[in-house]
Amino acid sequence: MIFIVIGLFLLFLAIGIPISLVLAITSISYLLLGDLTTLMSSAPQKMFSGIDNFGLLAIPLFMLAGELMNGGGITTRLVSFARVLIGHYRGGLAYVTVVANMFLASILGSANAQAAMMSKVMVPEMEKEGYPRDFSAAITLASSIVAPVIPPSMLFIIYGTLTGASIADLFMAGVIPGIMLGIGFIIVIGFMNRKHQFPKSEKATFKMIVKSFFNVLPAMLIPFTIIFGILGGVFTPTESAAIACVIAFVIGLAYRELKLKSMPEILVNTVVNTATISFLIVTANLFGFIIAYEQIPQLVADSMLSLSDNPLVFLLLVNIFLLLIGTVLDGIAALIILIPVMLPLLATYQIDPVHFGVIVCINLTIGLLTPPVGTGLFIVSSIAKVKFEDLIRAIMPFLAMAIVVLLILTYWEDAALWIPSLYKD
Amino acid sequence: MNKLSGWIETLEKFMAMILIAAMTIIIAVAVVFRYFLGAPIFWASEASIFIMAWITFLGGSLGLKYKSQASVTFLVDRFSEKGKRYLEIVSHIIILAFIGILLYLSYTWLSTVVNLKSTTMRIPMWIPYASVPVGLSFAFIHLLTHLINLFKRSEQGGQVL
Repeated sequence: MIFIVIGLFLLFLAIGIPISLVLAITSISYLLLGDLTTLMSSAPQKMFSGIDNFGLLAIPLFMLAGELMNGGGITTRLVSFARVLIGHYRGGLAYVTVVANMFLASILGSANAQAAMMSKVMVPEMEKEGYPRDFSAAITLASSIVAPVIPPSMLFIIYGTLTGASIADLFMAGVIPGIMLGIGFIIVIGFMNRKHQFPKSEKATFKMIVKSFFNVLPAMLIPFTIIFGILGGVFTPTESAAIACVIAFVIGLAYRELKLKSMPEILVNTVVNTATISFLIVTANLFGFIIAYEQIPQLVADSMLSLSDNPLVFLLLVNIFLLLIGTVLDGIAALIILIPVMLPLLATYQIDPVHFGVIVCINLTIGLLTPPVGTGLFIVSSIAKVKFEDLIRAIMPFLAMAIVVLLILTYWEDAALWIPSLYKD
Repeated sequence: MNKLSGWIETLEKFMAMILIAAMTIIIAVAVVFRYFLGAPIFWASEASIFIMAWITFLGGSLGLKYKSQASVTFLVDRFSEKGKRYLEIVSHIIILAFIGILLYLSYTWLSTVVNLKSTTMRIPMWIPYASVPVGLSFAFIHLLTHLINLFKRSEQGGQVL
């Protein structure tokens, strides 16, 4: 029977039914086919318990903070700050894109949102200075994948609630990997610089640096609050998200970029965007129950162990598998569906759940850059008006670098676990 | 039908705004009370989890209306416009049938929990639990409206609006 259900699952996915509903529908058809009436009557309860978790509340709150900051003002401010710092080097604006993305990543938690915001600002700017448009689009998209790695991060929040790993630890574990990705992209640009001789901007005066520093300072209160609030044990990630909303609201009004009359739209957007994740979590909880009932995690664990008992081999297989999955399935959906299946393997191979979380989240985020379904590719190619094929070609060096960083992180546990270990004992 | 779906949309949006604003304020105020006033709001996390339930099911329903939920599209995109429409009709019928079953299950479930009280606030548990049937009912109406519109469009010779 399980094969019929898997078949239905793939069929429903293929005909374009939203993933969240596919999970609910296959679960219900499993219960119907198996005539499991008692389990069936508890299906709504199972769905409800999927969101019964305080950690998940960080999702709408960080989204709201992002929406409040979304006026466009923050992006330009961060870009001009990065520009006065490093714009005068050859290929300066390309480096600026990477660095500004890293700053923005410390406010936003979603790569898609960030890619959309940054490509609106950076691509026209870079084109004006004479960079090829497909290259500008590619570097903007590639560096947006630091968004879910540098805290706050939607993926880490979801991973934490699914596995019980501390979201605070995950946030802190993402800092070094995020910086490594940024450095990786800077190295790629450095190499391309030799060949292409990219343009450079005027060197900024010290006065300009100070001025633009004070321009971004209020916005930087948000990452400051999140990181030190969590490091100091002052509040949980969820609480830090609520505080970030308050700060974002006040700053938005102070910068005169947030209009009170746009609040209804911001609030509704937040709810709808939240639900695209949380509704999926709800139906996945029902589905996960079926998976557990069929003992699929144990089956997967046994067959994995028969392949190899070496954790490094296991991690390499996970890397490859998730890169492939990431090409066809949305990262968040893949995370929600696959983590419950993979979780028992962590104990078997003695892999740290926080380290694994960092690997999995970066792995799935890279999926945004990979054809045919990388959502990031679609978003940026439509905003920046670059042909899909051209964007894919231009993104290749960055994609390769992202995979190299992923492999380093997979085998170098301390890159992720060093910062969380600092405040442990 | 379009009108009904529109009214529900307005209602959902209105509730959505209030819910998300309330959640943010509750959690932020709870932090202030705990640290600066030394008087933690004991019900804050339970209340905000209940709000999250409503956000999820109402927002989920809106997301289905706006078709903003993630799906696998690279196969569907290969079909012609006409083929896509037939696929959409088929998938809507499947979805509606199963949401119908879930609706039946969740109303039955709701009727069994009317006497339960929540652990910290002692409010009736049907208040958060009702988010499941209500959200699904609204989603059902939105999707039924989509389906009817799909049929209308096929009759008109496939003019895509």
